[in-house]
Amino acid sequence: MRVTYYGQACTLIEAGGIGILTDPWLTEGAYQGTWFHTHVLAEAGVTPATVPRDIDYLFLSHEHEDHTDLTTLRTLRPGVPVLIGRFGTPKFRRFLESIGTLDVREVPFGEPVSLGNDVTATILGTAEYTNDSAILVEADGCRLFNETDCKLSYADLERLGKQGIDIGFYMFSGANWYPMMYDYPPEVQSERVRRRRQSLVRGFVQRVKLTRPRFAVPAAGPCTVLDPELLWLNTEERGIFVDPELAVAALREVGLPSEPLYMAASDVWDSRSGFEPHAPAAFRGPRQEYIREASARLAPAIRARQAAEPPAGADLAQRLADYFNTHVAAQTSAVRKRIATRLALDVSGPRGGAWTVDFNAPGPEYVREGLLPDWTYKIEVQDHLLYPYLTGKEPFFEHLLLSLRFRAVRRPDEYNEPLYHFLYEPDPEKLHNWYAAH
Amino acid sequence: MPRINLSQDEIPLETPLRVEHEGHAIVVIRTAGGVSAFEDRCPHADWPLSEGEIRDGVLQCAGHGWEFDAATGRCINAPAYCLTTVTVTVEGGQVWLEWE
Repeated sequence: MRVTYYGQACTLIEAGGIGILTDPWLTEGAYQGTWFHTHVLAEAGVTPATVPRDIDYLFLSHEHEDHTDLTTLRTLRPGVPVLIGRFGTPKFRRFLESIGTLDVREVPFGEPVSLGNDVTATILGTAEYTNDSAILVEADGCRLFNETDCKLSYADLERLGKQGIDIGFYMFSGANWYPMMYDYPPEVQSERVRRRRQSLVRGFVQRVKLTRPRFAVPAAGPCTVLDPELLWLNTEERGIFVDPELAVAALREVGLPSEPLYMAASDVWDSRSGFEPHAPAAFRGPRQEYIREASARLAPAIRARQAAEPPAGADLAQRLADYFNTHVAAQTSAVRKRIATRLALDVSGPRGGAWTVDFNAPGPEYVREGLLPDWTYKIEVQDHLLYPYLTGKEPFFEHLLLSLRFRAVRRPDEYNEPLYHFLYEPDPEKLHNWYAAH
Repeated sequence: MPRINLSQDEIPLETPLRVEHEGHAIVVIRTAGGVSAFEDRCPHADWPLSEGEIRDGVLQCAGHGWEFDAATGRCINAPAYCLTTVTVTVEGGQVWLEWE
């Protein structure tokens, strides 16, 4: 088995004459221009155009742009079979089918699928509400596990450990907006960042400990933010995007039998010959220095991209009311009660305004003009960034939050998971069933 | 209703202890504030909480970092989630655990 690493959760697995590409994100500037790879992939000669077009299978773990990149997908040969987990809703499948060139195949979780030539793949499903998955590939007497961003149950991970893994690719970093985008006093913010980073690295170590691979690679999770205005997000004091070399060091410190392996984009691991470094030397240099230089190089392109962002439509207010009234009204009263929030949307820009989505209202109207004084969660965002999520042009609302181009406040300062689930996928049946069971 | 006892000295300070009895797994916690016990399962992804850490009265799950008040079992990140509580009685250096 030969594995080429392309950053984040993207691996090209070649075994038994079969090529499987996982979670390809081979462009830069995901989520409205914010997310860049740990190192700019093009500097290693990796672009959508350089990926072999004759891969046999594609595995996509979930819909996040750093795992499912439309630009990359459109460069693959038409009709390439795409393996995805059989999720509780068809949203991800339909999204992929809408691209028009992919042969999407849903696979039941936990059931090995033969890919031919004694190569099998098993997709494992998340323990969370989200549509996320991980993959185990077995070939040539070798087992590769790619956790992607997926939070598997303890039982699944324990089972993997008992089966034996040769190489595992693990999530090791934060991959969202908490606590950075919340308005906390600096000392509170830095303490939360510290705790979160600590728990992320610790969780990585624990999952490696449980799954016991021969080689453990910190892979999915972090982004690098190269927008000069947001460079603070890359710092240890203010951001949750962990440096992969810190994760390797943490693993080494614990002294597990698993060998920590830092793979940079374009590096290769071969089950017979071992690790082959291919990445440019700069990918193994001091991290903050690399980020500063990359940001300086790319700043003009980032500014040009932002300047070209389309404005919000004149119907933003109506779109916003329609979006939230429809989705809130569709929920069962039990789910609305679980969410029980007053979501304030403070939208700046020419089409901006202020609205509150009151999940406690009797309905059928849930959106009120203005910020209700007792709002419990507030999002401040620019109109043109919000607008495509209201029209459906951008089908996944969470991507707005992953763009890190908003601010938020919560009162009380508590994680409202039902609200997050609603924003993630407001499917009434899925939400109802989830909260009937949880 | 299952009921077991252990000596208070067997429970390390600020380190979760897993106790198994008739197919039930319990995590027992001793802090300066007292002894508490819960079902040894994180409601997020079923990790044993006994593999977690206690710091400043907070029990943190080892798997994905969810945090719980070590005394009450209330989830700090997502207050809607609570750990399943085990009744604890301390008598003369003996800790009795009782659950349904």
